[in-house]
Amino acid sequence: MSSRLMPLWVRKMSEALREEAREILETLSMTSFENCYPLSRNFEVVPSDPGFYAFRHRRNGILYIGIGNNLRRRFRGGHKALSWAFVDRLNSEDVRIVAVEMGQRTPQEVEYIETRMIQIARPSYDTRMK
Amino acid sequence: MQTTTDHLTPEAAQTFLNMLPDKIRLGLLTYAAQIEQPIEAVIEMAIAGFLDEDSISFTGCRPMAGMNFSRKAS
Repeated sequence: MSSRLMPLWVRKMSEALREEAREILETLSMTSFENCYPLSRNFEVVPSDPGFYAFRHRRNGILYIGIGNNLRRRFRGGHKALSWAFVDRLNSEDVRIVAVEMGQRTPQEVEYIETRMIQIARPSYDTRMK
Repeated sequence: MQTTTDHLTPEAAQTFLNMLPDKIRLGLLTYAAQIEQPIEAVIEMAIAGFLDEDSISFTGCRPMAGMNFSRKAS
């Protein structure tokens, strides 16, 4: 549907979510690398809350953007981005995780925002069709 | 169980919740309060996340994505 044919409230909601996507992406991108969560075996320091996350490389920026119900558990089970980083011979000290809580957003809003962020940032390890 | 579009209704979620063992019901309710989400969203997140760990709702769920099953749900 053309955006001009959408009801006004749908357009306003979409605009608000797009703005949120930009803000969250900025947080994921701009948080100081030293303030991101370092990789570890059990990811004890990563929040167990639902939310957005990104794998960041110290110099190459965002490698992957995702969402999860429980971020700590998501990484403990292994993650494709870490496998790819290993294959690409990235130094584990140069890869970190940055997270933003889901907050009061609905699951559908979170998925919309995730899709929007992937479309904007096009992370190299994010191969899912969004 | 009734759904509207692709989501659990609050009524359906409550019916489901009432059929669960006390400790599971309490766990879901406590988690919902902790993350400040309605119980229907939490139940949906739990089921969607079990079937596809990269999803948090039925809409975004690709059942068994990434699992090594030869036959995937359609």
